[in-house]
Amino acid sequence: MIPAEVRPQERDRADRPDQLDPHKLADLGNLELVARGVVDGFLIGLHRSPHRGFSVEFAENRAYNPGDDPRFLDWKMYARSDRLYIKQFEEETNLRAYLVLDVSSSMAWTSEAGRFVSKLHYGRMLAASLTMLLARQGDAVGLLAFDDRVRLHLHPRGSRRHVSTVLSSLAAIQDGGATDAGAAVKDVAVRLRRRGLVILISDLLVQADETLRALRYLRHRGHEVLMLHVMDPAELELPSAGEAVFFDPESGDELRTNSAALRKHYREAVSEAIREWRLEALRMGADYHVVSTDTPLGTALGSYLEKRARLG
Amino acid sequence: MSFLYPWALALSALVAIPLLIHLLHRDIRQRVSFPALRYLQSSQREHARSVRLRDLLLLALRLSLVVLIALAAATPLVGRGGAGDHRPTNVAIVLDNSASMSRLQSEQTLLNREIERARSTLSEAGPRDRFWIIPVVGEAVAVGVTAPDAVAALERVQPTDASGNIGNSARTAALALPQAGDREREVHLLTDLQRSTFGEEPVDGAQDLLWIVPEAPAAEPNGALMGLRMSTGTSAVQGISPDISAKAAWYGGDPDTDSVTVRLESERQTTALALTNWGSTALFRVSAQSIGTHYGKLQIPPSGLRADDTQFFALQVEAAPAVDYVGTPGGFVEQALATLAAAGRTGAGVADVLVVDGDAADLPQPGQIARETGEGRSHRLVLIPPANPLLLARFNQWLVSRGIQVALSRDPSQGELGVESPTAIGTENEIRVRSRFLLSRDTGDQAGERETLLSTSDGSPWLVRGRTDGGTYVLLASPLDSASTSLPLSPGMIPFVENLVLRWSQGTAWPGRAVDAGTTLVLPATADSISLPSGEVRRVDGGLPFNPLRVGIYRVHHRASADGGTSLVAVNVPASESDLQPVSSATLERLLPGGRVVRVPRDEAAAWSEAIFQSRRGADISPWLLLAVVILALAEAWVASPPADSARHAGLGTTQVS
Repeated sequence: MIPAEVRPQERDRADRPDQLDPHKLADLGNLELVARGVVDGFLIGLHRSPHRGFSVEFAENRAYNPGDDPRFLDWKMYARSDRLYIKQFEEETNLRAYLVLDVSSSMAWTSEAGRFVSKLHYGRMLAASLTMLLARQGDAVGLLAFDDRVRLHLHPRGSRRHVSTVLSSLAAIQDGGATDAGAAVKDVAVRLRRRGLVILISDLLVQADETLRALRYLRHRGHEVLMLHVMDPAELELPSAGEAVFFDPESGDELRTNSAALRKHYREAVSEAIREWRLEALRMGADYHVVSTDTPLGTALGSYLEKRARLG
Repeated sequence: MSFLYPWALALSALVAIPLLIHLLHRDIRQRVSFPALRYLQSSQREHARSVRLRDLLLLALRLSLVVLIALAAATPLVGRGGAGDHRPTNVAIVLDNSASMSRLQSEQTLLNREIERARSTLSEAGPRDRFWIIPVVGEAVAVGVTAPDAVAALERVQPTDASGNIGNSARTAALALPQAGDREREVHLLTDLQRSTFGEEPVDGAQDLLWIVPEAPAAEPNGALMGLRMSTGTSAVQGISPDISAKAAWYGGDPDTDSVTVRLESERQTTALALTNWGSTALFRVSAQSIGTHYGKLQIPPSGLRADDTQFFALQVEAAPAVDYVGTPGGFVEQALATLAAAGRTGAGVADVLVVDGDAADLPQPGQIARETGEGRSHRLVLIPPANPLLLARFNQWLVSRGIQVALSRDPSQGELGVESPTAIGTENEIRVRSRFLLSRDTGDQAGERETLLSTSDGSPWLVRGRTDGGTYVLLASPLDSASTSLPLSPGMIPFVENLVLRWSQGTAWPGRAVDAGTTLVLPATADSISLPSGEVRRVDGGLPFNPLRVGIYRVHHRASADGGTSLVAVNVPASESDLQPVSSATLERLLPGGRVVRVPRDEAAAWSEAIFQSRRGADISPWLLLAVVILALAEAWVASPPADSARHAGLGTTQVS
């Protein structure tokens, strides 16, 4: 419920799906619907169209009708058939984006199921929204889901059908096992022949060295990299479990400790890890953002838009 | 340290709870899925020592919390606290106001110092305390009263020159203090612990009480006069000079000089001095020339207790009585009376005393007696039974006709008997009785007024005195002839007859002797008022007891209708008060068997304040413990989950895309 005294702009903003609590957003419907709502709301918030710099590629001819622009008459067809045809062109993207989604078992975790969506579901919604947004801009979107191996791969395309394929694939994808982000990123580098944008959506509970090495390779190949570090709020702020055995669902490692005793030091350790990721990203010329699963998707999309704006 | 609710200490067993929690946490069953375990592991690696210390600190804090809560609930009392902070207490203050307490110490009498001590006790009393104030001499002046009332009651405790019995007062205190509920009971013995006033009998009930006793004052030597005696009693016949004697006694070590000067003052004029050794008796012969009441005192230089440096005496001088004799002419009695008359011991004129011998040819009839002793005057009869047994019946009949309800009968027993206390009758010669009559028991209305003055060695009355409507009589059980007694042929005959006619026939002049302060006297029926030595005049009722408590001369005034005028009573300090030596601790504890005796330095007010109200509670530190509990609880909460560092938290850039 939005307070009555909230200004209209703020009320509008609060009603927009891109600004909704992700947990509430997940209840709105299927992934495509959610993504469309998020992107629509997001674009309304921008106040201007993001579409720019289209190039054209011939698609098919059609019969000339009076009023058609004579510049698009196909004179070659006229010479062969003595009939006037108008050349129709397919809009061509100027960006090929690869969404690299971590679907390892650690991504399936949420600290409070009734309050926060899992990192995987958040990543799914974020990836779907990015797909929708990229498609609206005419960019080609590819998808790669991985855990300790590549679980799904969709080559970047710009058609509407492809977008539907990406969205349905995202909806159907399940969490897997251990994580090997390095291999997945290398795989992307191999598959992505043209320069493009690689958006890594992961909790980054990975082998940092290998992952960073792969990302550097991507950068070396001229790709742009956007790292969206998805974290559960409880991973930022250690949950109050008192004395307990903490275990990693992915690796099975265990640690017996008192959360209250370590909370302060844990917070420092997380802060240090984030600082390291950010520093490494800066060094390789990549963008890095921490996204909490209670962050509205619109905010996360903003990080993409910032990156996209720099790409021109 | 003591506890108001010691059972609450059992709560400290709850320390087992944090201990168990601590131990059980070693067997953790709670498992938490946490993918970001790597950060937790690195934190643990880097801060394992501080985490361990924190755990131990938490455990210590929690254990301390439980212990402190238990301690606070038990309400610990530290130290003894103030005197006013004690359980309700019943206190009996036994205040020695006997003569020995009139000694001066630092220009203040011992009694006043003890009264001050009692006041200090009362000033530290609580509203639920109750007090009994029991003077050693006199009645209790406060019974179960509050401290303010007890302070007022202290004003009624007056110094006396009497002798007290601390043992009796302690016994009274033990009986007086009720044992009620959880009330404490204390007896404060405020005395100089004079040995001679304690008696020998242990105090019953002493074992249940706390006895708080100041130490005895420093032992003090004391010279005293005591045992005043007057050879004629308190009355004398004009012209006869009575002897007055008193013993000079020294207590406490050796005196500076072996002898002491005793001064006789008669009616404020020094009339004689005598030098006597300590332990000896000083003897003065005073002149009794003028008829009337006379008084005086024997005195020695002051030492120790002042009141016993003086012995007062009083003397009633009367005119020599005229004696008439009805009996056998030429007998021993008549000759003795003639001797007395020749010596001026008896007077002439209308007879005051009529001596009747049962062997007389004609016994005097009532009208004859009235004529001889004067119409309307009370007469004194000296009655001697007949030596001739055949005249016994006539003599008995004559006695009955005179209203004397005594009948004489022959004694069938044989052998001689002695007479008790021959020195009391003025002769040191032994009186032997060879023949006597038995005096029947008196059943008349005046039976109660008959008294036995002398008895034979078998206990039978030998000389009795009684009253008739017309006056007094004395009746001998033996004729005064050589066959019946040894008297007629002994030097004691004249003094014996003198006593008969001058003293015994008259009856003892009241009070008959100098008395000790504190002695209960029965006032003459004619007494109307008494002038005390202090000058105060007090109205009295004749026939009632009177208790003189200060030394000096008391003047008992008789009603105007009576012919007695004024009687003097000399009151002196009892001899037992002169020995100032204190009782030993061992004796004191023997006299208070089983009682908890606390001795307190006499001149240390702080020590006394510390000693009294033994049940006082210490300072209650439970509020401080509760404050410590709060502080520890806050510390525990802070250590268990320290407040988030907001600045650091913001630096994490957590929930916003940075």
